[in-house]
Amino acid sequence: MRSLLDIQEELQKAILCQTHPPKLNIEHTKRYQQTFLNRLADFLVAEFPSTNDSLGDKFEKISRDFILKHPSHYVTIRDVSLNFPDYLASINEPFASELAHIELTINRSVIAENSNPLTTEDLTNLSEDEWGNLKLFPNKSLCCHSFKTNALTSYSSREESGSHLLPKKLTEPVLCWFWRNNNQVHYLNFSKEFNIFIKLIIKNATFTECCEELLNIYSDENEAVTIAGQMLYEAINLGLCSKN
Amino acid sequence: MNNKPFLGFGLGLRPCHYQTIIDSTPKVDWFEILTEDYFIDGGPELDYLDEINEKYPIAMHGVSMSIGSTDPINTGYLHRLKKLIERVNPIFVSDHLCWTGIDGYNTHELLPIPYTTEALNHTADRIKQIQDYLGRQILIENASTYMEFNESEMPEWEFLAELSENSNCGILFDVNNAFVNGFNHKFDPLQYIKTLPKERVMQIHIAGHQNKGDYILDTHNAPIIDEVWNLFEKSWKTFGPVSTMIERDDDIPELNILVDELEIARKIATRAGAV
Repeated sequence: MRSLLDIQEELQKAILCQTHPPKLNIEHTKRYQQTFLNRLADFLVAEFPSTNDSLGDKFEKISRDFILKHPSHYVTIRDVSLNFPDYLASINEPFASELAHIELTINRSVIAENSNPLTTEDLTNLSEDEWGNLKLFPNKSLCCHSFKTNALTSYSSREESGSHLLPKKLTEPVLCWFWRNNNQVHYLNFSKEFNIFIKLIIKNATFTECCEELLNIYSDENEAVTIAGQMLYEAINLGLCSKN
Repeated sequence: MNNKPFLGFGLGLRPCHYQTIIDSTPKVDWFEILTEDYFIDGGPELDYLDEINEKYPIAMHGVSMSIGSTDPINTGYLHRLKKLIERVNPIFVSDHLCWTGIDGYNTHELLPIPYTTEALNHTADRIKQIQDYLGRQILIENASTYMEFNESEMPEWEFLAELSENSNCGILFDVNNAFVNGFNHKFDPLQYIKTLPKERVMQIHIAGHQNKGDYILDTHNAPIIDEVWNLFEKSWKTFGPVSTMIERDDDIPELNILVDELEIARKIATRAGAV
C-alpha cells in the first residue's frame, strides 16, 4: 500500500511533468493535468492582455511552456506572473517581454503598500536647516524599468486605439517610472536630470545631498539649489514622494 | 462543540461587484472573500474590503493552506493568514480538505487525498497545529475530486466527519461538491448529509458546475441546478440553519442576478422549516 507521501509524489509529478503515472488512473489524472494548465494559462491571459494581443496565437503555447518550466512555489496564484516577462526574454521575445514587464509592473503597483504622500503644505514652514536635513522618501509603489524596444509607446497605443505598433528596437534605452497615486497607476519617462533626482529620493537622500548631486550637472550652486527645489515640488505634485 | 453563528445568506465578494455593493447595499447578509487574493500590501482592493467590511460580516475562504500535504506547514502562509484575520476579523476562516503541492511547489489545484488512517491522523494533527497558531477554529470544506485511490479505507464523508471530531475543526459543507463527487465517484451524496455531525456544520456552499458527460467539473461558472437545490434543502432539514453562500468565480453575472439566486436559497431554507 502506498503511503500518503508516495501518492502525493506520484500525482504531483504527473501534473507538473504532464506524464502518465503507472499507478494512477490515466483518464482521471488527465483531468488534473488539464485543469492545472488551464487555470494558470487563463490566469496569464488575464494578467497579460496586451502581451497576449501582441503574441497572438503563440501566447498559448508560450504560456503553457512557461507554466511547466517554472512551476509555482507561491501561495497566491497572482505571483505566478512574476517570472513571465523574464521568461519571454529568455526565449528571444524582447518586445513581448517588455510589454509583459509593463503589465506586471502596473499590476504590482496596484497592490503595493499605501503611501502617506508628502505635500507642498508640509514644506511651507520649514526653516533653512530643516530644508537641508529634509530626508526624502519615495512613494511605496514607485519602481522603474528600462526599455530597449518601443513596447511602452506600443502599450499606450493599444490602450488608446486598440492596436499595437510594429515592434522596433530603440536607438538608446528609455527609463520609465511606474507608481500609484490616488489609486491610479501612472507611468512616465522623465529627463535624465529628473531621473537622477528620483533615484536620490529612492536612496532616501536629504535635500542637501540632492543639491550636491545636482552640482555635478549645474555648476552654479544657486542654480542647483533652485532646480532641486523645482524638482522636489514637481515630484510632490506627481505623487512620487512619501512622508516616510 | 458550541453555538454556531448563523449569518444568513451570503455571496462571494468579487472585485467586479465592489462599487455596486458600496453604492446599493444589496440584500446580502454577508460576504466571503478568497483569502489569498488579499495577501497584498495595499491598494484599492484592501480599501474596498475595509469599506464593505464596515457594512457586512466577512468570512475568509482559502485555497492554499494545503492541509493534507506531507510538506511541513507553510509558516509564511500562516503568518500572512493571521495578519489578514487581524485586519478582517472574519466570522469564519476556512480552507479545503486537499493538498496543493509538496516539495515547496503549489499546483494551485485542490488535489485529492486518500481516505486512509494515515492521512486522517496527519491532517487532523496539522489542523490542530494551525488552529493553535491562529488561536481560533477553522472550517474544512469537502473538495470536488476527479480521482479516487485504492488505498482509501473509508468513504470521504466518514473521513471528514472523523477529521472534524479528531481535530475539533468545523465543517464547511459544499453541497455542490458533494453532488459533483457523487456523480464522479458514483455514490449517493445524501451519505454526506446522513453522516456529517450536525453541530459541526458551520457553513454551506452552493454553486454551479459543468457537466462534461462522463464527469462533472466544479467550475462555479453557472447557476445552481435543481439537483443541488434539492440537496441543499435536505441539508437544511438535517443541519438546521447554517450560514449559506453562493460561490461564483467565472462568467460572473451582475450582482442583482446573484442576489436573485440567493433569494431562491432563502425560500428553500424557509420551506425546509429551519428559519
